[in-house]
Amino acid sequence: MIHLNELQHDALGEIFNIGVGRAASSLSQIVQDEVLLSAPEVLLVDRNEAAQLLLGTEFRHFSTVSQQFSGAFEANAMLIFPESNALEIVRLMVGPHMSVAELSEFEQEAMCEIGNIILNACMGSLADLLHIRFDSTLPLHRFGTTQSLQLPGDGDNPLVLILQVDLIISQQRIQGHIIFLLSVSSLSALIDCLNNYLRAQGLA
Amino acid sequence: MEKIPTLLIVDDSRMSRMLIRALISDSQPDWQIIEASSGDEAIKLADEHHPDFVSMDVNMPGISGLEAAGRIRLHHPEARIALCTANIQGSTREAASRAGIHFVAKPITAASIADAISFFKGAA
Repeated sequence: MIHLNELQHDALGEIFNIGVGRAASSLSQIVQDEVLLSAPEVLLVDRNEAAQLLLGTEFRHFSTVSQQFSGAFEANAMLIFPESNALEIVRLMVGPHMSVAELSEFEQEAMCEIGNIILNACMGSLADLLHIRFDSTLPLHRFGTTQSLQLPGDGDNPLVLILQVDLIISQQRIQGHIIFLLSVSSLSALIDCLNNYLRAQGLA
Repeated sequence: MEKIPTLLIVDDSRMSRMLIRALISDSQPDWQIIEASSGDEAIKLADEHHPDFVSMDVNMPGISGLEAAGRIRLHHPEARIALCTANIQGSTREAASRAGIHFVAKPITAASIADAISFFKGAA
């Protein structure tokens, strides 16, 4: 059974924290407002448990953007916003003059851009600090409910790494989830990279 | 007798505290270093130890580092405080600047810590 020890868990949270910080800086320029961030929470859970965690949130309809990263290890990264929040982010991006219908039309493109910024900032931060590189697919946007939320994986891919960050934009509580799905072999490769990093810093 | 300089490192990440401690200990072996993992704990430790320097993270569980820095500044105006944070938004830099707090962007590296030490010593 793969697990993260306390220092690996902490290191992963902090590395993603740096990535999310970069992403928030870009996002704040896009929405022209301050983006407040919570400390990220790192959870390594069974895929079914991950669905339960998301089912436990107060929102039922989601707007998701996903990207596949491959390189030192493979990860399916997903950014998930409650659907009502997603439309609000788009409104902040394009200004208050668009109608709801126009906003909805623009949502897919806008969410892909936001997903691209946030997911690449997280993975970019990970790559820079761990001295590895990733290639990524184009962001893919989907709508879904907690029931239909697709968490890729199968019997050989039961573990899900969840990074959860709360974003507050423009006094409105916009809660986003960032999820990284890793296979067992990818998770082992990630832990190896983390150990190399910690050793290089003289911390392990 | 000259007071030993005291640095308070505030960060919810143990790894970050360890990195900052290691890099500062390398160049300032005579400094006393204490650590807090939250803003509330930092305020308590600051009242007990009267640190000369504070390295403060921003995004932490509980009160934010900016709020904790403001409270520490209120009771210990002589302390030199550096925000050491991944929150690199302009608004955070501006808030730090308004409060007379130095800004250091994460990741923590030898260069970023050298910058903080220059500030602590009054050279930045």
